[in-house]
Amino acid sequence: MSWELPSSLRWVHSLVAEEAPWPRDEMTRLEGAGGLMDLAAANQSGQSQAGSAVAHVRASGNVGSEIDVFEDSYSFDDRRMNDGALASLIAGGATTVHVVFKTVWKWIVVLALCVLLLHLIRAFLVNPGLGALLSRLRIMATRKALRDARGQVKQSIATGAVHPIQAAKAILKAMLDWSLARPSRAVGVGLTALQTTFVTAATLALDPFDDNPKARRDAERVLQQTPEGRAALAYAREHGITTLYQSDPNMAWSDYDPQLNVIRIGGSDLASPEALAGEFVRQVTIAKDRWDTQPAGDDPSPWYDAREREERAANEAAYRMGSQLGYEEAARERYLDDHDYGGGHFQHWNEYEKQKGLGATITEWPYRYVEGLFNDGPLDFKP
Amino acid sequence: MSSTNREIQTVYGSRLVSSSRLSEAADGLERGLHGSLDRARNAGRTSDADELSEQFDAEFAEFPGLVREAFGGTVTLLRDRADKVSLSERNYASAEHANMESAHHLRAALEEL
Repeated sequence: MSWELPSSLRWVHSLVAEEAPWPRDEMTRLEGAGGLMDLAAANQSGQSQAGSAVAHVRASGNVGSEIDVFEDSYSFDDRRMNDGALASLIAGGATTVHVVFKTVWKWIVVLALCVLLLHLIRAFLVNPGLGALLSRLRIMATRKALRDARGQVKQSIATGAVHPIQAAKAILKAMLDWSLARPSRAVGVGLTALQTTFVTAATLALDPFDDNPKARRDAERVLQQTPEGRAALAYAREHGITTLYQSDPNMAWSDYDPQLNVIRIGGSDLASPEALAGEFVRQVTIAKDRWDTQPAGDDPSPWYDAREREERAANEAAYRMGSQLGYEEAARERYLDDHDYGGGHFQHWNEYEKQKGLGATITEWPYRYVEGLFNDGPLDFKP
Repeated sequence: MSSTNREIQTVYGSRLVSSSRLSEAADGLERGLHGSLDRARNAGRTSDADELSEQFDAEFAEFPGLVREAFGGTVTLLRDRADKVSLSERNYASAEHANMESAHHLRAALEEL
């Protein structure tokens, strides 16, 4: 039932089989994804049916405060079914993402094998004497490239499929002990995970799979400690802003993308939670402005002036949060004394100029995994 | 009827309709649960161990159990709600009946005078 390895590649596959497992479970898993979607549908139809049953009491002419109580008490069931549908949907989506990445992996294997086959043929054609050595080097290079690519696919599955499953489980757990936790909080988590997964393949500037959950937790813990931080968190939540804590080493180039409604914070692997929290406050202040990504018209100076004003306001907000945290001096030094701090908008504008559009992205992104196979560059085996 | 004067007014039988619809919804949910959960389990199960899916499978293993508990809870809630609705219908019917009866008694007593 599943996609089998083309028979002409079987022999080459045997050379690198160790590094190139060929999974055959995607049809079964897709069946499972369908089952999860059906569960979501069962919840939704139950929800609308129960909703009409409740509405019927009022519609058929019953009157009284007792009906208000009846309707109010129903809203809990309604949310419960909503949450159940959402959890199943997220799990179904996650399973599908998982299957997609396994298929991408199989595709990578096929590409790698084709390239390897071509190289082997060429090696023997060009120089029969050295053919054995060259092909051995090539096989080792391919094995290394496949190993690296597998690591990347695994990482993508972890972010795109494992995290949403965790979020879906959180929703169900909240449903099970609803007296302790409100499910709606878990719903936020789930939606963020989905949004993070699917938000865009459209911008080369943004990699939605690059997110550091530990940095997020730590930064949000710091943010919860100050009024300024809590206000920023609440604003982001109310406006559906997704925040990605990314591994880009330069935190000063963090930015807010108004089209995608995503805040990207760099340096999550290196910076302290306090610094990340400060950056979050800065970016939320900038997000309140909803700026254009590029200057309109011929004269760019008003655009730059507006950006400078935003950066100043953002730095002041971050300074307020820092001093509320008790690091008044350090915050002053970082956000107020250094007048050039920040500048994500310049970076964003540069990337906007470079952006090639959705078509280029779709045709290009899988090659990120395999580009090592198409040139005799750093991935080639060096004895 | 004005909103300040909110007496309780019931339409005979209307609650039974709601009750049956609620328990139908519960039945449907239960059917969906039984029908789809076995299929949904496939999402996490593989015959041969696979390095790419290890983590996913580990996370998913707990999921079907949680689904069954959570959805089962919803089904129970809906059934309870349906039972309560049909109970309140019976309540109102008997209360109305009792009121009618006492009114008859009163009229009979007055007519005898």
